Amino acid sequence: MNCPSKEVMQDFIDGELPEAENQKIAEHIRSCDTCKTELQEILSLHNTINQVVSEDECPSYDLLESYANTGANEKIGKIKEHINLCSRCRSYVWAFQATEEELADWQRQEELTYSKFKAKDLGYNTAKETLKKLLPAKIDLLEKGWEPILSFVLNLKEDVLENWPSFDQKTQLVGVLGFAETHDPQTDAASVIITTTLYVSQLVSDGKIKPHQEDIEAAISEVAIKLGAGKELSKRLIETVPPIILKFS
Amino acid sequence: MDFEIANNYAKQIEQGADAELHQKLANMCTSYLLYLRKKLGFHCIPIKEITRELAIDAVSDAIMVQERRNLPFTICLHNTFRDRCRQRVRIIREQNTIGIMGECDIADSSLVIGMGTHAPSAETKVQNAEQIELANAILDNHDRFSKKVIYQKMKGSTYPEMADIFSSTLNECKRVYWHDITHIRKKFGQNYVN
Repeated sequence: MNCPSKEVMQDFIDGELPEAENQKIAEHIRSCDTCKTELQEILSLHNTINQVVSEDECPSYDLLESYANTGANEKIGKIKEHINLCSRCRSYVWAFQATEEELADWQRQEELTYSKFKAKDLGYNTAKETLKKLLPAKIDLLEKGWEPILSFVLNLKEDVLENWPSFDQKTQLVGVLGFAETHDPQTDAASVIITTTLYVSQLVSDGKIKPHQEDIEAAISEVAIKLGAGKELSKRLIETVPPIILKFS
Repeated sequence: MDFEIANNYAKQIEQGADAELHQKLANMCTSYLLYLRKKLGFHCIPIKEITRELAIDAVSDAIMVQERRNLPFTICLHNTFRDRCRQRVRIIREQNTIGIMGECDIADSSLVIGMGTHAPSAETKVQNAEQIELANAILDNHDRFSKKVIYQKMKGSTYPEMADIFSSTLNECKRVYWHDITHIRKKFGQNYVN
């Protein structure tokens, strides 16, 4: 194995690499003096900076509250410098300073984001299950690559909405993509679109078909029949999916 | 979690309700805390640890802050949970460093804070102090954003959390952090060569 790039070394130190890759890099470093020295230097630097930051302790709640209650002109000294740097303390100061209305507003926003997340999470699972049922041959792909597929699908969502204005965000696509209304019966249509797009994209990236309009259309028609898409839906698939695939190919 | 119900439970606990309600509140908050874990990128903290320990600790901290400051429980919980996660992340990172050192045959105990059973020598202490002073001076010359990124990272923030705090992207925070680390390293090198 060659010496890992800086980026890989960074991810290694951050503990963000998959276990198998971690092992490979550790093995390499053990036998490479250059990498070992580099790693040692970085760890040493981390340690030093860590000590610098650790010395800057967060003030107590009492101090933060009294800081929050002093006038802007009186906010001076070390504590001000600390709060400028420390997001934790800034958020407490904000809470201590906030009016009831601002706090209520924060709560409303937070609750809204949280409920969207819950719907999304539920929807991800529903979408995954739906796709599994619709596309048995690609179960492996779904299991191994759910995250990249998901981000692809999220991009796809934007494009579908852009290319297909009649697509009702609230009742169809959103459900399958996990934004809300997962129980909506119309989500099946969106499942077909997503599945078709994913499947045909996979054919293109596997080199089984060329990224040409005609080839893509032919593949779509074939998949649409397999998935039991009606005439109207098939027509829409032909209109909508090729531009998306061509864009991402 | 229903935020209003959570606030009410916390109020009742503050006014002396029994421990059972405390547990009930912690259970009720778990799904919200798991959401925060995901949103703020604290993936290295196992879910089990959150459901078994961190949830109840963060709820206790939040009730304490709420009690003394007259704030809604939910905003306190948001903050105290994040504090707990950052503390935990710092410990996990330290353990990770020890793991890396073991895997890569690096036997320098000074690389990990708190590691080693004996006090450093006077010489090591002086060298450490010099390095810390130098790092401080270099950091002072960094622009505000990059200084904040380094600070947050060392305090246990994750890149997704930083992206959220600074309204930036995960990759940008990561890039800035590593650019700065490289810069400081170069400066350190120059200093010791000179």
